Amino acid sequence: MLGDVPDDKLVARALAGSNSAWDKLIRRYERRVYNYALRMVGNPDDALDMMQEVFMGVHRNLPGYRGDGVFAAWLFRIAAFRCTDFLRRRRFHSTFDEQTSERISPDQPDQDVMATHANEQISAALLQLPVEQRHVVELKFFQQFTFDDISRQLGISPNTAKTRLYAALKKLKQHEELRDAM
Amino acid sequence: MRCEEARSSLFDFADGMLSAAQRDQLTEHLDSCPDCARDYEAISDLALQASVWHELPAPRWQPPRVGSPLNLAAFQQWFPSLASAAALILVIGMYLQMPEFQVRSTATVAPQSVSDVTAAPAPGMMNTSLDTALNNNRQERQQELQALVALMRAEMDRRSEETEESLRYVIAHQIQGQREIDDLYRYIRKVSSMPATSGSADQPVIGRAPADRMSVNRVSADKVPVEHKPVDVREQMQ
Repeated sequence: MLGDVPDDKLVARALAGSNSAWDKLIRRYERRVYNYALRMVGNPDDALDMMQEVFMGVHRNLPGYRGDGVFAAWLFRIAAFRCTDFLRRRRFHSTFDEQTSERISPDQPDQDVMATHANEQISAALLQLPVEQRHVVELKFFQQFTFDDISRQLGISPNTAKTRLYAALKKLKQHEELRDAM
Repeated sequence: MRCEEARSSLFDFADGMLSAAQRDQLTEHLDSCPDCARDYEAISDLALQASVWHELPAPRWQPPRVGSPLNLAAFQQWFPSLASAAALILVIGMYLQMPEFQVRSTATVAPQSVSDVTAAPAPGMMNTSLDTALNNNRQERQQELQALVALMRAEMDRRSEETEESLRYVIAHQIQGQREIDDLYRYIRKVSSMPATSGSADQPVIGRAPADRMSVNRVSADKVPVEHKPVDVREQMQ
């Protein structure tokens, strides 16, 4: 029944007290936010923590959402803020290889193992970037936002976003794991 | 096309957002510029890499409920305004109940003396209990003021008495001193008019007389040594 309901209507219903609308909103975005968090922080446990923090932030700020833009862009602005705060608190170090290897169990199908391996390589490459460059790469290439959206989400100008993106590309070109994943 | 212009269009080119003419111009530039071509290659590689990412399902977790947390969020939004309004109402209420405000308001309605204002407050401004409290407060203040005035008067009287006594003492000593000076003056004139005589016993100790005479008031004659017994000038004169 709520399958094709626009985000704004789900938000309005959630604010009116509808748990089903709120659940629908979460289920619609939790996978996307979780994978975003996984690429940003590099391991599943931290990604889960960060996803929960993002939705708690959405939950807390939902009454202030005015519906004057795309809900996803508003959500990822909160996500970017939460992610920056999360990484600052955690002082994340490159523990990706240790923790993600726990997910790959011997009885997994070969296709899943390959996919997981590709994800690990991509995450390892992204983790070589400074956080501000990682944000721009994530929002541009994985979330498909425009530079105007990215500038609003990160509080920078579109030209600054492009400059950071070129700097990230230059660094990624030198990363051998990314080339291997291609 | 210059490199700067080409670089600003590479992302739109990769997204297929350029017009046919722009696309042709950029393609021509990329064929002739290895640097821009490498940038475009990097953009394409990263876009391809992003598409390779295998989306993982989110782990099971317990999302927040709409019930209390959202209500809490709404509460957090309107609570500051409500608290400010309540504080403002409280301050206004306290101000209206202050005695000064009551007197001022009543005096504005009917400019009379303070006692009249206290005796006949304007109707509708104060209830009976407030009237009683106001009158009690005023009586207490009047009593305090009267006590303060009495204390000030007593202090002024005490100081006046002290001043009067001091003046009396000073005048008395001035008179006495003047008499002594006059006596001494007469004695000197008498001595200077008399022929010189021997016998120091009859001569007064002029130099010591004033100081010794002053000490008579404080020291009894019995305690004064014989050789230092003061000599009264007036006795000498007589």
